[in-house]
Amino acid sequence: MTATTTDTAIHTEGLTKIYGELRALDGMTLHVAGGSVYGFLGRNGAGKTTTIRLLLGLARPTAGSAHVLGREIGTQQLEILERTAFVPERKVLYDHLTPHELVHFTSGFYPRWSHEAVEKYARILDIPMKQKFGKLSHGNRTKVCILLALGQNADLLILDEPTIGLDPVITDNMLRVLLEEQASQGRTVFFSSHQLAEVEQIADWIGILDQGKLLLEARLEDIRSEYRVVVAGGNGLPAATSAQVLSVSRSGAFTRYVVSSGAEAFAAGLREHGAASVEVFPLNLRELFLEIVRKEELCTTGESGEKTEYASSRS
Amino acid sequence: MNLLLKVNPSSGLPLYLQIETQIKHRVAAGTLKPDDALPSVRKLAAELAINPNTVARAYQELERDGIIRTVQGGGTFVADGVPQLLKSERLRRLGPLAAQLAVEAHHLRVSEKEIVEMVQEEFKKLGGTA
Amino acid sequence: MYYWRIWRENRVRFFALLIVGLVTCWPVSVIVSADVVAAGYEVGQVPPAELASRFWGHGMEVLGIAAGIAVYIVGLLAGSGGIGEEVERGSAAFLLTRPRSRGYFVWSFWLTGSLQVIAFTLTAMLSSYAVLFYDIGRPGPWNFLLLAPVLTITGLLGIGLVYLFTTASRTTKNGVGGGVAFTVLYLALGFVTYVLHHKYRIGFRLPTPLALYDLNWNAALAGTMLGWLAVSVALVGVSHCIVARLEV
Repeated sequence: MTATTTDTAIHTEGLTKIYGELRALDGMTLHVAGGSVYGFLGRNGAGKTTTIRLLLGLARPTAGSAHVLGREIGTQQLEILERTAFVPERKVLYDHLTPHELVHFTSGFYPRWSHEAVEKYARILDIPMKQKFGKLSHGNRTKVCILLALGQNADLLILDEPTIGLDPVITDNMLRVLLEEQASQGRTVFFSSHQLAEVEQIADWIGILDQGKLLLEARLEDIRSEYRVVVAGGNGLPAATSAQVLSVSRSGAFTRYVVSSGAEAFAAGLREHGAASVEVFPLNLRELFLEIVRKEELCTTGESGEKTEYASSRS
Repeated sequence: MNLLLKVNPSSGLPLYLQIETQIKHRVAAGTLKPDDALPSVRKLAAELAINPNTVARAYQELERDGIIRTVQGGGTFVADGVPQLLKSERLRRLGPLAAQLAVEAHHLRVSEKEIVEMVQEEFKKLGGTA
Repeated sequence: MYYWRIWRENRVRFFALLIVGLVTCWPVSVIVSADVVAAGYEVGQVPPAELASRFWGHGMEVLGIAAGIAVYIVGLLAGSGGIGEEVERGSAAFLLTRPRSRGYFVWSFWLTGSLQVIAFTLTAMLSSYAVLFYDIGRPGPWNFLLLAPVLTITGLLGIGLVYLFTTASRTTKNGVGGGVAFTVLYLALGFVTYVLHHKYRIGFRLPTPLALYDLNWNAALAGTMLGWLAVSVALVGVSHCIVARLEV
């Protein structure tokens, strides 16, 4: 059963989770389109795992709502779980069972289970099916968790840090398998990760979470097409001039802008302002992430001993 | 068939553009000839280990520009070289590139004559298809 | 599928408790055959009906004590597990994201524990009945059958108690430890109130499940059974509430 790409796989509206004094999630609103690969990014403690726990019914929101595959979390949680596969952050299962037995155990919960998919991916990922789970390496354990998720024939895959601690070869295999599932079956893949290079490789969309709020949600290709770093040399150049400027920092005679669109026009505008040189650079995901999330720049002294300021406006 | 394209997801440049550019380059240079078969979206995506939606977009843009064509029932091929767009549209597309070239030449103090020479050199490398 | 996994994890213990159930008949046999011999008869010889009935009564007492303690321990062990253990192990995030209600996991686990208790009870009763019949030579009284619900309820109380402690504390050690400690304290309190009430007419007697072992069928016994059964189920009910609200 394939998900249609016009459906929304996940939609949260003002999702909030408060633990005593801590606002783990603070009015978070995100959209994941059906059939897409969505990379959910954020620092440690930003609220990624909390979001996932709320979507899966492992915890309840303090405020706000969320719908997964068109169903409301909480009241329709079982329907969501029937159609959603999950790989948790801590790859813990039952040490005394072998992957073969774990498949047997897990398959019983799902009438739509696909034994062919399990056989295929067990081979592709090279998983030792007859060794007890407790004796497997971290890489193999992760593979088993992913295998169990793939066997479910789910419309949505939610993965919390799927490639953490994995060597490059296993990581590459894993990403290819996830892409294959998404492409051939139209499944939606929602995953959180710190491995920005991997996210860049496979994601359609990314969402950047920081301190419980979603700071940015955009198509990766739009980021690549539109977001630019503009470095201008000269003095007396303007600070944040419009909504498209995400951040401004100065160091000596140079001013560095990060803009979310219209970089060429902006650069031309700076030249008109008397900038001696203007360079425009693309921005990869790691650079963008650091821009958006980092609140304080380390002090850099230019010729004039000027401290770097950091002003940011969210667009 | 493996096209052996090379894309860099971390370069900050759109992947679909990178693919488009490389295919356009090969068609222009003649290493991809009209009616040559191209891999399907899924196959190319699997080869490059990137999202198939990205490849799909590249193919869409290439087809819109008349560089490739898809056949009913599957199969993608290099188009037979006759561009689908009006000449005026084709010229319009190159306008910004020409403007950028002129501006950069001005800033870098490169003369018009030197620019023309550089462009001629590039055409020579491609094999002179006009 | 949950059942399958619980079976895989507990099958050794299951067979062990069946063996213990069988072995319970040994002290019963030893004591009753001593009675028979002391009364001047040979084992298996048919003594007069009144004597036989006294021997049966004595046998049921011994069985009640031995099997009662044993089935309670079976219950304590069987109740140590479930969601509390999954949280301890770290696999709760996996299990609770399967498409089953939280209640399903609680009551399925309880069901497997109950089956273990029932299996133990039946084994102990069958083997003891067999040896008593062999020793005394006459069939036993009808109220021998009362041991079935009485022992089962005792076991279920053990399950309920330890399951609640395990779920509340999210550890198996504290689960069993808590269950044992609570049992000891409760019985001690029961004893103290009994003494105070009977000897000094102070306060009231704290009811304990020991009242079940009266084995004289009447309305009071039926009420006591239902009451303690309700308690054992209520304990699991509280665990259900905890698990339903649990955040993992």
